[in-house]
Amino acid sequence: MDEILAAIITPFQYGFMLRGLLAALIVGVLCPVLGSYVVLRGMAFLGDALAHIILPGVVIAFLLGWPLSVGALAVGILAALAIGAISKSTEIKEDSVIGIVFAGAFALGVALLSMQRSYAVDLAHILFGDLLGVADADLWLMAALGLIVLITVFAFYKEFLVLSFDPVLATTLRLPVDFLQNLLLVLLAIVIVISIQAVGVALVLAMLITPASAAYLLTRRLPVMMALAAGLGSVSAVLGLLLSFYINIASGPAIVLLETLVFFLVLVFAPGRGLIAKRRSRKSAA
Amino acid sequence: MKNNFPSFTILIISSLLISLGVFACSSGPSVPSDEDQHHDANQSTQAGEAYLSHPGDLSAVNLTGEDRLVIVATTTIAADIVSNIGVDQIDLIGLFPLGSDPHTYEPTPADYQTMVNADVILINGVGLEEFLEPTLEQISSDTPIVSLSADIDLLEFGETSHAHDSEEEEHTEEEAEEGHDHDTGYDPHVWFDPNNIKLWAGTIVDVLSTLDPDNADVYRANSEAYNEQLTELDLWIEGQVDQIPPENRELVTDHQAFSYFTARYDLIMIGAVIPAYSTSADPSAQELAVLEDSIRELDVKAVFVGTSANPTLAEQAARDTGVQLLPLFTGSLSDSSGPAATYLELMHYNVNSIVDGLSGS
Amino acid sequence: MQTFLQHPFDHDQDAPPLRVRNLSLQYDSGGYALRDISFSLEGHKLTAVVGPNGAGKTTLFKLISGTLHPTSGSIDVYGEGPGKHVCIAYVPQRSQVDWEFPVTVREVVMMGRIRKIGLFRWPSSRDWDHVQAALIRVGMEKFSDRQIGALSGGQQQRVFLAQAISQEAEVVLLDEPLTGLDLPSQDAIFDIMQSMRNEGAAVLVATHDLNLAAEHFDQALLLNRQLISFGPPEEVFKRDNLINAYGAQVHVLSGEDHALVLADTCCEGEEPHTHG
Repeated sequence: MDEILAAIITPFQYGFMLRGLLAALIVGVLCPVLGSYVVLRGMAFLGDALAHIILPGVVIAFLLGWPLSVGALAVGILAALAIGAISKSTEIKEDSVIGIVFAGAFALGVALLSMQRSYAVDLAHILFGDLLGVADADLWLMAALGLIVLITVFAFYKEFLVLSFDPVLATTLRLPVDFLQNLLLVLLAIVIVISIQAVGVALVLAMLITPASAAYLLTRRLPVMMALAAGLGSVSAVLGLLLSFYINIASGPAIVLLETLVFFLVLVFAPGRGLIAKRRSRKSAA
Repeated sequence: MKNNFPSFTILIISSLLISLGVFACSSGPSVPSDEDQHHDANQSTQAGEAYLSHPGDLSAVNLTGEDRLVIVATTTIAADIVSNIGVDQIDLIGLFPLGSDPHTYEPTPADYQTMVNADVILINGVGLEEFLEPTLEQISSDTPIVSLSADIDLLEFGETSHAHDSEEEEHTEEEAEEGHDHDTGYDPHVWFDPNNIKLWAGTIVDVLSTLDPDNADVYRANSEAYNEQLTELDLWIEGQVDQIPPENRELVTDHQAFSYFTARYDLIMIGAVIPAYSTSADPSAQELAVLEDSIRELDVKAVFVGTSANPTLAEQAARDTGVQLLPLFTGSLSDSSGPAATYLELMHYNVNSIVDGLSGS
Repeated sequence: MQTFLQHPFDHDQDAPPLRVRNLSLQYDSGGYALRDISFSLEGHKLTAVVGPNGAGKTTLFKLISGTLHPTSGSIDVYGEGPGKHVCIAYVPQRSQVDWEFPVTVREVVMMGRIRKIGLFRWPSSRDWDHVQAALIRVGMEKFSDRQIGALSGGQQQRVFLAQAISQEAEVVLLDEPLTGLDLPSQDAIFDIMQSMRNEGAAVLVATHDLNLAAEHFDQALLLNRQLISFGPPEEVFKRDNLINAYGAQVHVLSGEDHALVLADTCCEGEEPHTHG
C-alpha cells in the first residue's frame, strides 16, 4: 500500500507535474459541467467547431504577445454570436454553417501560425495541449475564469435547465432565450479556452462530452449528472497524468484515453441502462 | 428485435485492445541507453539520400560577361560561411529567414522557384533540414544539392566525444544519411565546432571551383583567410572555457544542439529539455523529471535556451529548479543589428553567455 | 429580454381572455399557414380546436403563446399581446418532448413557476407548496421524484397539466393531449381540464377527435387554415362546415336524430370512427 501511495505522490514533487495536475483538475471539473449541457442538447459538433474556430484568436494573441485567453475569448465569443446570426438568416442548414466557419477559421489560424518561426512546436501545443508547460500565471487565470463560469452556471441554473429541456417552453415562459443561448455559448467558449492549454484544440471535445455522457448513463438527475461527470473528469485527469508519467506518453491524450475507457466501461456495465443490463431485461421479458 | 449485444461489445473491446497495443509498442522520444552509443551504422536505408551530389559530380557553369554563380544556401549560418568564401564572385541567396528554426522550416512556392534556378544548393545536411527534405528530393533533378557536412566526423546520439578509434568508427556522411532518424541517428549541429566549419570551407571551395574554374584561386585565397579567423576563434574559445571552474562545466540546453561544442571544449552535456535533435519533438513528463533531477543533483548553474525555439518548457524547468534561463543562438544568426549577425559573432556571443552563466555563483 | 426584467403585466379584466383579429401567418414562399382568423373567447370555456392535418392548429397555438409571430393581424390576451404575459401555458404534443432528459416530475412542474421565482433566486417553500398542490390536483403526487421518461402516456400528460397549474396560467393551450391514451386516462385528463376551466382558466384543446370535440367541450373552433366555424359544437359540426373543413375525406350520412360522420380525420394508422 505504501508503495502505491509513493508511486502516486512521487511524480507530483516536480513543480511542472503539480502545476499540470492543477490545470488538469480545473479542466476536469469545468468541462463536464458545461459538457452536460452540450450532451443534453446535442451540441457536440458545435462544441468541436468552437474549439477549432478559436485557433486564429489564440494565434493572433500569441503573435501580439497578449495572453492567449484574451485573443481566444474575443474570437470565441464573436464566433458563437456569428454562428447564431448566420444560421438565422440563410436556408443553409445550421450544421453546414458551423462547418464552414469552423474550417475557415481553423485554416486562418494555421496560416497565421505558419508565419511564425517555431511553427511546428506551437501548432502541436495548440492542437494537443502543453500540460507540462503550465506556468503559475496560467493557473491563476484558469482558476479565475473557471470560478466565473461556475458562478454563472449556478446563478442561471434554473434558466439553463428550462432552456435545455425545451426551448419552446422557455419562450412560452418568457425567458430571454436568445440571451441565454448566447450566454451558454460564451461560457462554452471560455471553458474551451481554459482547456486548450491542457489538452489542446483537438481533444477538448472529449473533455466536454465523454465524462458527461458516462454520467448520463448512470443517473437520471441533472445535478447528480454534473457532479458525477466532474468527478469522473477529475479522477481521469489525475490518473491520466500519472499514467503519462510512468509509461512515457503525452499527458493530454492520456487523460482523454482514460475518460474514453471509463465511458466504455459505463456503457457496458451501467446498472439499468448499460448494454449488459439491457440484454438481461430483454431476455427476461422474452 | 435482433440481439446485437455480443458483436457490439466485441467490437468495442477489440478496438480498445488494439489501441492500447499500439501505444505500448510505439516509442516516444526514447531515453538514451548504453546500446545507443554503439549504434549499428547499417540502419534502414532511405532512398531519399540518393539526391545528394559530390563536388566532383558537378560540371562547370557557362558564365558569360557579368554573370555570376547563383548559390543557394539553406541555413543563415551556412550562408554566412559561403559568403565569406564566395564574396563578390557569387550571387548568394539564403533560403531560411533570420530567426527561423532550421528543423521545422517549410519552403514556400517562391523558395521552390529560387532553388530550381540556382546553380547549386548547399545544405547543412545530416537531417537538419527535416521539413525541407521532401522538396529537396524533387529539386535534385533540376539542381545539384551538396551537403556541406560531407567530410565531417559525425557524433551519434548520446555521444559526447570522439573518444574512440577513428579508423573503425568514422561515420561518414553517407552512413549518416542511411541512418536517418532524429532520435537515434546522427547529430546535425556540426557548426558549433569551428574545426567543422573549416571542413565546410573546404567543401565550398571544391564546389565553387568546379562550377567556376576561372575564379578558383580567389575562392581558395578567401578560404585560407577565413580559416585563420576560425583558428583564432578556436583558440579564444579554449581560453574562455578554461576560465570556468571545472565543477561548473555542465551544460543544460533546450534541445540536443551542443554536442560538438562540448566534445571539442571540455564541457559536459547534462541533458536537454527536449532530449532529441529536433525542436519539433516534445519531452514526456518522465524525461522532464529526469532532467530536473539532474539539474538539482549536479548543481547546474543555468539552463540555456535557443532563440528560435519555443521556450515554455525550458522556462518551467528553470523555474522549478531555481536556475537562470539564458539565451543562446542555435539554429540561426540574428539580424544585422543583433549580437550574432555573423558566425563568428554568434560563437562569441554564445561562449560569453555560457562562460558568464556557468561561472556565476 | 425586456419582459424578463419587468414585472408581469396586470390583466385588463374587462377585456376577453383571448381575442384574435385578422390573424395571418404567411410563409416566405407566399402560401398561408393561417389566413385571416378572427374570434373572441368570452368568459372561461373549454374550447376544442379541430381541423384536418396541416390545418394550422399547432401554428395557432404557437402564435397565441408568443412562440411564433404573425405576419399580420393581432392577438390580445386580456387586452395585451402575448409577449407581455407569463400566464399563457402551451403544452406540446407528447412526441415533441425529450423524455430522456434527466429531470423529475417535481422539477418539470416547478419549471412553470420560473418567472414567479425570479432571476438569481431559488424556489421558496411557497413555490414548493404550489408544486405539491398542482401534483395533488392531477393525482401525480406519488410520482414526484420519478424521472419523466418512467411514466405512462396518461401520467406524462398529467405532469404537464400540473406544470400549467403551477404556472398559475390563465390561458392554457393543449396540443393533442388525448392522442394515444386509453379511455380511463382520457377521462382523468378531462376531469383536470374541466377543473381548470372551473378555476377560471380559458382552456383550448387541439384535437382531431370529432367525437370528443362534440361531446365534451363548451365550444368548438373548426379551422383549415381559415376559420370555418366557431361556436357551440352543435352549430359548428354541421354537414356543410365539416365538408368545408375536411373536403373529400368526410362522408356525412344523415340519420334521424343526428348525422353519421365517417371521416379519416387524423394521423396515419387512425381508423375511421363514427359519431352517434
